[in-house]
Amino acid sequence: MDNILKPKSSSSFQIKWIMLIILGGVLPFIFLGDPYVLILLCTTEISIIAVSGLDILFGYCGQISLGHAGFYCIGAYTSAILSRNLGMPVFITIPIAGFFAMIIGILLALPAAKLVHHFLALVTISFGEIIYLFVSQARGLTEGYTGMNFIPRPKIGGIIFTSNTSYYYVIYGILVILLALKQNLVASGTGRAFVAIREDAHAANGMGINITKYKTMAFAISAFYTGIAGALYAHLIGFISPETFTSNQSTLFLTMLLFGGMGNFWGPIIGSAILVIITEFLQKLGSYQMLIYGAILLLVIIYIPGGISKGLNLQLFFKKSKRGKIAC
Amino acid sequence: MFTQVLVGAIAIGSIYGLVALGYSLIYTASGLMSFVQGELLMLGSFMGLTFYKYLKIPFYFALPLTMGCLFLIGVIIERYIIRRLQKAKTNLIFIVVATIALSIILKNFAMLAWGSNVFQFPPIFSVSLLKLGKVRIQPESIMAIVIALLVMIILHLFMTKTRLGTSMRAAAQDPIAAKTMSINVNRTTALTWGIASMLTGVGGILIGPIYGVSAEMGTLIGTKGFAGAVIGGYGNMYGAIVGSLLLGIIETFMAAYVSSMYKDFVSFFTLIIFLIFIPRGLFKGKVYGD
Amino acid sequence: MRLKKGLAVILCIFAIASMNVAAQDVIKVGFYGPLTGPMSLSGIASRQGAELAIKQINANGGVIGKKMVLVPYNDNSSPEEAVKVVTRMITSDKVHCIVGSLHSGNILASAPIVEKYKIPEIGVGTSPTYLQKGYTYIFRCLANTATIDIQIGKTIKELNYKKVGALGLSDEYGKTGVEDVKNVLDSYGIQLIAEWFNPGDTDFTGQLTKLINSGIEALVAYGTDSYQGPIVKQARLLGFEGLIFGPESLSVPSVLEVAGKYSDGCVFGTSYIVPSKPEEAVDKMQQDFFKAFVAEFGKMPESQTAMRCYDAVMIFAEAIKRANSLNGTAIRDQIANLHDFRGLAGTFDFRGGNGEGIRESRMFAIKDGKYILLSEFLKSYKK
Repeated sequence: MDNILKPKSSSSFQIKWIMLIILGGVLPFIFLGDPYVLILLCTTEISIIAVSGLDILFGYCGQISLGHAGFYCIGAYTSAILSRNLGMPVFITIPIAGFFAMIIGILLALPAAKLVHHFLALVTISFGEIIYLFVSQARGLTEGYTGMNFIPRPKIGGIIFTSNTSYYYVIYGILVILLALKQNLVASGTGRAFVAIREDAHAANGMGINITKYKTMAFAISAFYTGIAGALYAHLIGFISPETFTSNQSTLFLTMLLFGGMGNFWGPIIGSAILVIITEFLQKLGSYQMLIYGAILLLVIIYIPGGISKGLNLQLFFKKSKRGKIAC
Repeated sequence: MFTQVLVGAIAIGSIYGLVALGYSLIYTASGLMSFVQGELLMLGSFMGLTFYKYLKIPFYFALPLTMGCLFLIGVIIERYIIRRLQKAKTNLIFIVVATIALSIILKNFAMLAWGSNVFQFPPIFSVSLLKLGKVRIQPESIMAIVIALLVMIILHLFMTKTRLGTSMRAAAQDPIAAKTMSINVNRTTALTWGIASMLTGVGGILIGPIYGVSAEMGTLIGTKGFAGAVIGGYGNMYGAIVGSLLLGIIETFMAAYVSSMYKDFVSFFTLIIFLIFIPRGLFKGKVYGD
Repeated sequence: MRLKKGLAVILCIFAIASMNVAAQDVIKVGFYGPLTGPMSLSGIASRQGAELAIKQINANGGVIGKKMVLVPYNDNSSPEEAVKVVTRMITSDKVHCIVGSLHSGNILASAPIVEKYKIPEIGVGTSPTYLQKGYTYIFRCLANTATIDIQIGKTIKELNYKKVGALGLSDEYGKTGVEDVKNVLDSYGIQLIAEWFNPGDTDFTGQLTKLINSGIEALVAYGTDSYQGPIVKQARLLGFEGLIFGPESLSVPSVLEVAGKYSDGCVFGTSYIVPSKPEEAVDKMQQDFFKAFVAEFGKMPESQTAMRCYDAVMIFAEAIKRANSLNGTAIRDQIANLHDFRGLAGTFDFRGGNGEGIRESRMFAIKDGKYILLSEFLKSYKK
């Protein structure tokens, strides 16, 4: 499907990467530090991380997940509880949240790795629902439906990242690192194993790839990414409550992946950006907002089946090789 | 108290059963999970309400009228959306997302068309309450159980005794072989969706008089119907009914005798246990495409 | 491909351009509430109330020589949306005051922003929590549920009940509410048994049967608007004949519609109530309001939330007039000292220091399908 075997070596190629990183870095200044736009940018970044996680599991390894909001939720609440209730520094609670989500991901993989298609989807749906029900009911831990507020922003030394612009850069740093790691992953042997499982699990098995091990890894890594995203979200808004983490959120992640294209670097980025822009536009429509959103979603699925990044062919912009050399 | 709870449990279980039947039928015919069933139930409920309350059509006409409308809607969805996506070889999961998109559209359409309130059916029977000894039952609950049962029996007879029903089953089991027997697979698939939607619509018009009609009602019932189908064996018609009744009973009794807070928790937990240990469900449904 | 890229760029420019800054010679009143989702009917009604108030104010020449303009946003009952839209309305649209969401959780989520930018907000959600966190720029213009809960408890005690049941929605509204009532009843030595249901539930048979069988003398129904009607109906159908108490969510028209004749015997507290005709309103001021509302929108408001926002805008207008300034802190200070201003809810007194404007709620009961004052109802009520 996509070119994952080509090494990145050309210098013009690396210049493009650097340009990209700089562009992301100056975005806040283009928008003059407007706090509202910055919230949107931060939300986009967080979505990119979360959707990249989903991409690893679904785009590369072919395992359906309709319950990824569960990991998002776990990451958010873990980091919120540790930082607000126990006073731990945010820069520590975020990775802990990611690792805790990863552990849950491994636990989920225990039954999930054995199932395929619809049964896998059902397990992930149930997982998402159970996490939602848990955080709603466990009032002593999570304050239930009331939600948790006063979730702090991270701080280093004496500097607190209160402004949205400063927090944007915190997320940005994490984003760049995680995306680079993802690219490494997909180019590595593990990544190739994922794709092999996605394309034909039985054949992969026959070639000696341990399906259970790699599926579990995919779940674990995916959960880690989305968990980190959840934690970053909690500290961005400063308030979380169970209603954010319903199946609608899982669907939203999947939609972003759909819009942007799966199994490639750009998919999550484009998908998140487009969806955030679309939802802000729909604000103007007041009560018709959700109806139009559903209609747009349906139309995109029907008319742009491969996802928008396929249509834009941004892949080629960034890869040195010619079309013929792309492995499918 | 026991009888009261039991009647309530069987009534809601029957409704879940109708929804679950829809899921199983669609899965068998198209190999898909459709997430729009819950909203079709809601639509059936609203249509029934509109016919019976606002257009003053007698209930025994309103029921088949609603069924007919839902049948058409089901066929249209299959013909113009699902089939088109399948032809374009869209990834299965995105067809599922398409049904999710449909459900969003239907739910919000209902909210805009009818409002976000809870609406009530005018009474269908002249008594609003049946008293049998200490037990009080709404006649609408009995009607729900009876009609649901009737519908299931008719469906069973249709599927096994008629040519059309048998060719639908054949097409679902093996489309290519069916085609060689000159069965029009396209038509039978469309029919299956139509019937599935119709069943769910019936569920809607039966449950409306008991609990009220609202744009939100489809979501939870849809999910429970799903669970019922899985517990009974996804893809197996009889399993869908049994699984749903079981779910209705577990749920209602749990709420009545143990704790109402964890009602939904129990449903999903049961679902997960089944998925982990008995994924084929009680009646060994098809594990499609494994 | 080029076309699609170009389209993307144009979209971005559009996005930026649409966040424009408008002129300063109008008074911008921000508004956010659930315009979509299950509370949309109440949300839309609340916006209409605000619109009516602004229209009337502008027809009278505006405030300090300026017209008022509503800047409405949909928060879709989501805290994240609330944070986004409140940030947007303050930093991009530069509103001078905000009429806050029905959804108390959203007010809580966006409170830090309002506080930081010093823009006064009058919340129209009834949960006590958002005024308990120490924010100084947030107020409320109606009786909160804590007030009503105390009055419910008192009434139960006056009727000499010993054992009471409660059916609550397991969200913030229901949980806090039932807890409040329980605390009040505990202090009187009255037993309260609580059962719960989750958002989305429509069937309360199990819970109600359990409560009825344990011999409760009265029921407290603590759900949000759309659940109350079904709870009342199902309770009555299961044979419960005692009084059914509830907060202001029991005052919604849908209770009468859903439960019909079974709604007799409902008792609730509310600052506002929507009768079936303007002439049946409790006082002249409300009558005038309803007449104007019907003239503007064609029918009575779907929910009393319209009255909440009407009062909120009126309070802002009064505060701005007295402050003779659009400065947020100046407006805020005026509201904090307001004690002689009359609105639909009664006479406001914000001097308590915690932002609450109304401290006591009127209590009503339903008899023969009509709303009457509780005091009237109790005169003819026999246990």
